[in-house]
Order: sequence, then C-alpha cells, then structure tokens
Amino acid sequence: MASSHHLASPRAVPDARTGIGLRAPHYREVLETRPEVGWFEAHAENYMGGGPALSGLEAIRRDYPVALHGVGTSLGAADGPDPAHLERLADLVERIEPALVSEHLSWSAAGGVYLNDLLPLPYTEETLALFCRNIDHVQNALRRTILVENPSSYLEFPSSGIPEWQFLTEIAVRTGCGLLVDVNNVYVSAHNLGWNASDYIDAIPPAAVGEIHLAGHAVNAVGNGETVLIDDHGAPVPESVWALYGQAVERFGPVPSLIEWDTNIPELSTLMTEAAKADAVRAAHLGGDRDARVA
Amino acid sequence: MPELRDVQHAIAEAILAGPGAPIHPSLREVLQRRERINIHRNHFYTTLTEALQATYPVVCRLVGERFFRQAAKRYIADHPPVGPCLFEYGGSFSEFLARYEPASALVYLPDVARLEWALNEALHAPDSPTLDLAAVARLSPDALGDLFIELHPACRLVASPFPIDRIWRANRDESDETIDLGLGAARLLIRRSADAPEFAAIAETDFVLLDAIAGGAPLARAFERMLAVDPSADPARTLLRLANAGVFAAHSANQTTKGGLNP
Repeated sequence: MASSHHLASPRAVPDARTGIGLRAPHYREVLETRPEVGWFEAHAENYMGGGPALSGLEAIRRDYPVALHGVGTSLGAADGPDPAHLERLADLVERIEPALVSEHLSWSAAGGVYLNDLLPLPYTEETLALFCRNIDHVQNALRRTILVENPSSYLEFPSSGIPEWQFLTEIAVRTGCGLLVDVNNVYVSAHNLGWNASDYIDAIPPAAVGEIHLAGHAVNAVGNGETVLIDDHGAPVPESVWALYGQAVERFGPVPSLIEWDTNIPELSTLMTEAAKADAVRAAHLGGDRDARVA
Repeated sequence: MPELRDVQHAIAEAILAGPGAPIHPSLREVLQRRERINIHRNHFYTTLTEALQATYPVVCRLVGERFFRQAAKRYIADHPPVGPCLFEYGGSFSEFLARYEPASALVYLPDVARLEWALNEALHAPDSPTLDLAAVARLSPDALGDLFIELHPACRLVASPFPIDRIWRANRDESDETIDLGLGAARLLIRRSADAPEFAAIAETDFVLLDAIAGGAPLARAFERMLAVDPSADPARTLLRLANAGVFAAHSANQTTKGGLNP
C-alpha cells in the first residue's frame, strides 16, 4: 500500500559469501554498525507483528540480501498448514521480498496445538502425496517456489519405506520446490539413525539445492557408550560437519551457505568468524574442483 | 500403520504428557527408539518456558526461577500454544496465576503479569498511524459526541488495586526496595515509544475516559463517565491532549464519518 513500505528490488543472496542467521541479541549491532556480513536469514515467525522487530528487518533488508526461513508452517501436518498463518507468511513475504523462502520437511501442529518443534514424518507414499499437496498449496499462496530443509531426526518410523534423500528428491521433482541441505542435520540424523552421511549427500540431486545450512550440535551420552546428537545450534560447527560441508560443496557447486546459532548465542563476531571459515572451506573445495575441470 | 493424522495426534499427546510420562500403546508399534520422544518433550517444555520467562521477567523475579519453571510447566500443559508466533504465546498467564494455588499469597502477582503482557502486546502491535488531531478539533460538539474512536493498537490500559508500577520498576532494576502495598491503586497507560514499550501512571479521569473509549463507547458516553468521576473535568480538552500524545488510532472499523472526520 503506502510507498513508505517500498523497498529496493530484492537482491539475490550471494553464493560466494556465507550468510548469518539473524537473531534478536544482534539486532542493535547490525543496525548500528552495518557489519561486513554477506547476507542474513530471518525466522519468519518473529516478524509477524509490527514494531521494532519488523522495522528493524526492513532496515536490514535495505542494506543486505535477506532470506526468510519459516519454522511454523507445518508442511507435513495431516491437517494441512493453518490458513491464517499462511496468510501472515504471504503478507511478510510480499513486504520483505526475500531472496529465498524456506521451510522444513517436518510437521509442528496437530489438532490446533502447536508443538514448537520440527517433528519427524514417516516417509510413506501417503506422506509423500500429502507433503507435495501442502507444498503446492504454500507455493501457490506465496506465488513463488520455496526451499525445503532436511530435518534432524531422533525417532524413526518402521513404516518409513522411502529413504529421506529419495523423499526429498521426489518432492523437488513433483512440486518444483528447491532443497535446503542442512549438513549438520544430515550428520546428526545419520549418527542417530545409523545412516551414512556421505551417501546421503551423494544421493541429493545438485540441481535442486538452493541453500546449505551449517551449525553445531550437542553430544548426549545415553548409556551403554551410546550417544545421541542433539541439533541445538549451540556450538561452533564441528570438524566432522566441516568435512561433510566440503563434500557437499564439491557435489552441489557454489550454493548460498548460512551459519545458524540458536542456544547460548555468542557475539556476532564469533558468527562472522564461522562464516569466514565456511568461505575458506568452500573456496578450497571449489578451487580444487575448478582446477580439476581445467585439467 | 494407522493414518498420518492419528499418528500426529498421538505424538502431540505424548509430547504434552511431558518428559518421562509413559508412552501410549498406540505409539509402541509406530515408533522406533521411542524413548527419544523425551527429546521432543524436553524441547517443548524448555523452549516455551524460556518464551514465558522472556515475556514475564518481573513475575519470574518475584517468585524465583524454580517456582516460575514449575508454574510454567503446568501452564504450558494446560494452555499449549495454538500458533507458531511465540511472541503471541502466554496471554492467559495472569488468569492462570490468579487460580494457581501455590502463588495465592502474592495477591498482586496476576496484575503484574497483566502489565507484562500489555508491555509485550504493545511491543509487537501492528504499526499504524495516529488520529489526526486537526480533524478532531474541527468537529462540532454534537459530531464529536457521536464519534467512535479506538485506542492505537500499541496502547493498552492496566488498572490494579496494588502499586504494580512501583513493583515492576523495583524488580526490573533488581532493587531490594520494600514496596508498601498500601500505596494503593495503579492506573497505567502502556505505549510503545521508538523501539520499546513503556508505561506511565495516569489520572483516574484520563483512565476512565480511555477505558470507556477502548470499551467501544461513543465519545458522548465516555465524556459522561469521566464527568461522573470528576464533574469539574474538561473531557474535550483531555481528549485533545491524549490525541496529541498519539493514543488513538487514525481509522476505526466502526468510526462514524458524521461531521466529516475524513475530509
């Protein structure tokens, strides 16, 4: 409506500079010092009111490429996404004009109760049909394609007959959505459920990948010498995940990458150091790849 | 394999049951490594407790963190979120506290919670223009009386028989000041300034006028209520002063255009 809402045309997120997940403790520093960050990704649900959160995001949006990452659309809900929530998401997308919009291969709500989590799905034909229907619905409402992120998993369904990587490939083929590959989630799920993380990356179709997430996780001992990895985004990216990232970059090529940190959030400078490290890892792997092609 | 809808309802129920609760037989064959449902249960209760703590920092300080966490756990179980925007979660916490037996000795606690919720709502309220003062000033007295206006979305009113404003400020500043509950009633107007919510104690006459307007009364009736409190009050002048302070919304759904408020 009002021209004061008009922003410069959307800028693509760069694939040569790693972005940072925008979190409340850093708003002021970002707005006041305009740090050297390639781009920001914001959780859509934090900006569905008005006031300083939304105006702050609009100000950041003027100076940086911005992506919106939804955590509450509940794409895998048997009840379907909540229409009122979807309308709010569409309004926000229209207002911010983000370079990318993403959501998760998960569900969050049942029977009108929102469980504030990204919960696992049984990978069956029934779920596949439902999930694709819900993506179509969301992409129509937003009038654009979205990226769908692989979850971190702890529980497993014996009825899951379709491997997760195949399920993701299938939704990309059927709906035209892209994929957001969270390499930390791949690592966590592979550890927790006994998959091979490297094989997982090798099974993802590179052309569908629109973004990569990087984060740290917690290691919880559960007795018998066993550990469960918890995707708490509360630590630096560990070496094991950097190694998987290197493999992902070699397979997917230059793709926008992002550092996420959500518990015990450190100084912005720590996240910028992590982003610089991702840039270096990516350059090293892409450089090798390019040389190999030239040779 | 039962239908996905039934599986999701069963998992939702299992998460709400909380860490360590037995797992319903209907889930036993559906889930492998099902003891790990506790990871999701912990996540649900921990993250929502943190959300409540962020919205109700002074309530938390008044009762102590341990007590707060216990109260929050019960509240979350009884009133789980209905939507994914966490800044909208916890609006009924004051009513819950009013009925929460372990907190019954702290008679002022629910009112402090109402103040903190009003501050939270003011912070996240939609941006909206304020009522045009000149347009109001142009109205004839009759037209003014027939007018329905609304508070700006970022304005709230909270009244309490206790000095909750002093209680809030002392605890926000982490002081150990003793506050005499006999200091009496607080009538507060909550607003959003540039980037933060704030509140101020206002006169009883101002409060009554604003409360009547917020309750949907036409201005004539709101003026009557104000004059009933203080016959020497000047409602029209008070209205202009409050409008000047940005307390009213520019456009109301049921606003009459009689008298030409919108030229």
